[in-house]
Amino acid sequence: MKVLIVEDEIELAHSMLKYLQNQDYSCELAFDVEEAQEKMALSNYDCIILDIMLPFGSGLGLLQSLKNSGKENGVIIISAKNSSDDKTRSLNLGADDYLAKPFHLAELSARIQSIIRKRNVNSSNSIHYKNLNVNLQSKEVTVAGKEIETTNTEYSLLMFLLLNKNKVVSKNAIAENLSGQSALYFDNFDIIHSHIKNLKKKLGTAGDYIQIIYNTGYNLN
Amino acid sequence: MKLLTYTSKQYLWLSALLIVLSIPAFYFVVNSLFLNATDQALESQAVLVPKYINEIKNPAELDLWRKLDKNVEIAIFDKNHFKAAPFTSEIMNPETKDFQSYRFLQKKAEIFGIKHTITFKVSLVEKKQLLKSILIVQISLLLLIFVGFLIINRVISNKVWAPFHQIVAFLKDYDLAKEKELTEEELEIDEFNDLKFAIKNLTERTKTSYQLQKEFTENAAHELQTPVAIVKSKLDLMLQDKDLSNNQSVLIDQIYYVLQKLSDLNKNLLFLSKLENQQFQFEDNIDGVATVSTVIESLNFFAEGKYQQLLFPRPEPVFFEGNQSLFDQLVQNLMINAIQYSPKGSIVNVLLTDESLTFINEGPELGFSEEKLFSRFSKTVEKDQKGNGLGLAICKKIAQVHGFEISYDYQNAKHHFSVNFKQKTEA
Repeated sequence: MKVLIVEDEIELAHSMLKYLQNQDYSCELAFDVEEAQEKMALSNYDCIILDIMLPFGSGLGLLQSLKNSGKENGVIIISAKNSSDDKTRSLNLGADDYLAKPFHLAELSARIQSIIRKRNVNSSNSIHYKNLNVNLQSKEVTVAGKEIETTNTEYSLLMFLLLNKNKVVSKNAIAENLSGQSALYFDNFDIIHSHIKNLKKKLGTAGDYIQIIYNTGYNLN
Repeated sequence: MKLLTYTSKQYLWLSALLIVLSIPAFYFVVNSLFLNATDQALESQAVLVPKYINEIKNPAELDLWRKLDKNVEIAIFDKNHFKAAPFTSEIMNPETKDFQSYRFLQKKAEIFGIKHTITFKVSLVEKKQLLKSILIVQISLLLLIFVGFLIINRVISNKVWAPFHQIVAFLKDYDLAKEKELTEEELEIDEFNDLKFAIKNLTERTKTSYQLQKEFTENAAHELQTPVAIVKSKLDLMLQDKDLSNNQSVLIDQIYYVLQKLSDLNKNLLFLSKLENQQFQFEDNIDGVATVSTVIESLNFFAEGKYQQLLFPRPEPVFFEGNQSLFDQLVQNLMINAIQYSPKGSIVNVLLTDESLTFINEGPELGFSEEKLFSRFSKTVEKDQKGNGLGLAICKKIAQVHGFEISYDYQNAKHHFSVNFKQKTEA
């Protein structure tokens, strides 16, 4: 799967590249509007990550010309402006998602995958990892064919870990993903920890796939 | 008092005063003119006296003259009863029994060798009539001016002041966020043109500074959030390191925490400044039940982790006008607040009616005032306060810009946070 990252902050662009690269993506970078236009014209991407404020133009302008040219790729707008105006404008222009900076790379990765999955008609309705299977439509979780009852929270948690498999995901990233809210407001991360422990217990043998890394993060491995 | 009423009142006072003063002045002038004319008539009669006397041959003829001319009196000259100048005096009329004014002119003449006084008189009864007419004319003039003023007033306020009222109406519902301009057409009255021009200038300048402010806020957000985003992404990468030690991972956790705090603080401050600058529209039709349900759903995992229950008995549909994203934020902040400050295993009640939205949760009584509760950065809550001290301040501001009232109450060992919709002053 090909992903184009259009971001003028070199360090941030490199971080995204590095995180996504070892997740079966082939990523390319563009640092300004012209470079992005060139790359978009030359090849097809499954998903394009667009910053709004760019040298020589705006990411929204790029989005518009992209939609006008009739290309069928997913677009995630990333912006530090975090104004609801920008968000509605992006979505109205045909962006699939809007992510406000600062975000966790795990969140970005999860969103890219769900967009590609949604856009790809041929993609299967389920995600598996070893003997763990999750049906995206019925939200059914099975371990070695046996159905496991999960709460909404546990299901979202498992999905987030699955979409970031082989990565260490921080408690903060999980909290943000679950609530769409800043994790700061929460008493402490015991809440995340207790949800993880419940999930591990419910998954039985498959629960062992979830590793706890020094109480700071989790890893589905 | 309207400007027009005020000025016309002044004009009316002045004209009334002038007219009142003019009545005696007119009277005086007309009176003296009238007397002058009378005197001249008398004098022209008196000039003929020597001619008459020459024609009188005997006392019988003199008597005849006396009898025929009622306006002439002939008497023996008496120095004490003689006036050289004409004079006015009143004589009783024997028929009507009232006094009448007469004008007299006396002349000396020698008749048959004896000095006589010849007195001519003219009735001044017309003078009374004159006074009456003058009064009538003046009063009707006053009335005419009065009515004229009223009519002109009405015409002016309807026609001439119309552009002024238009300008006032424009200013009254002036909204920076809306593109609305004053009419371009040239107005008839110069002063209003000046006013329109000045207001146009002012609104344009305000618009520019509003735009600048808006851009600055957004750019500031961009500039501040970008470094945070970079650090956050680097920490995410660092966490992937296979050789990470426990110590390092704890350090990363701590940096995450502070970074989150910085980012939230920045976000909230910008949010507040946007609120203060009224950069929001309030035209969304908000579905109260749906909004609260969504927030509860997204925050449920947080309550679950504390073995708490969020109870939201489904009420009748509640709809009102406002800003959806602001209202989401309001509900979210209050919900987080309720979950955060109530003990493990407790119940948080959310009640929604036409009139208010209330969050009820258990907890120990606060040791400070309601005012402090909603103020920014007041470090009143326990030492390990997790929020940044802006959450409730933001709630209050959001309620305020919607015209809602937010209040706090402590009853039966429970905190009650209420958003009152009906306290709407203006939307």
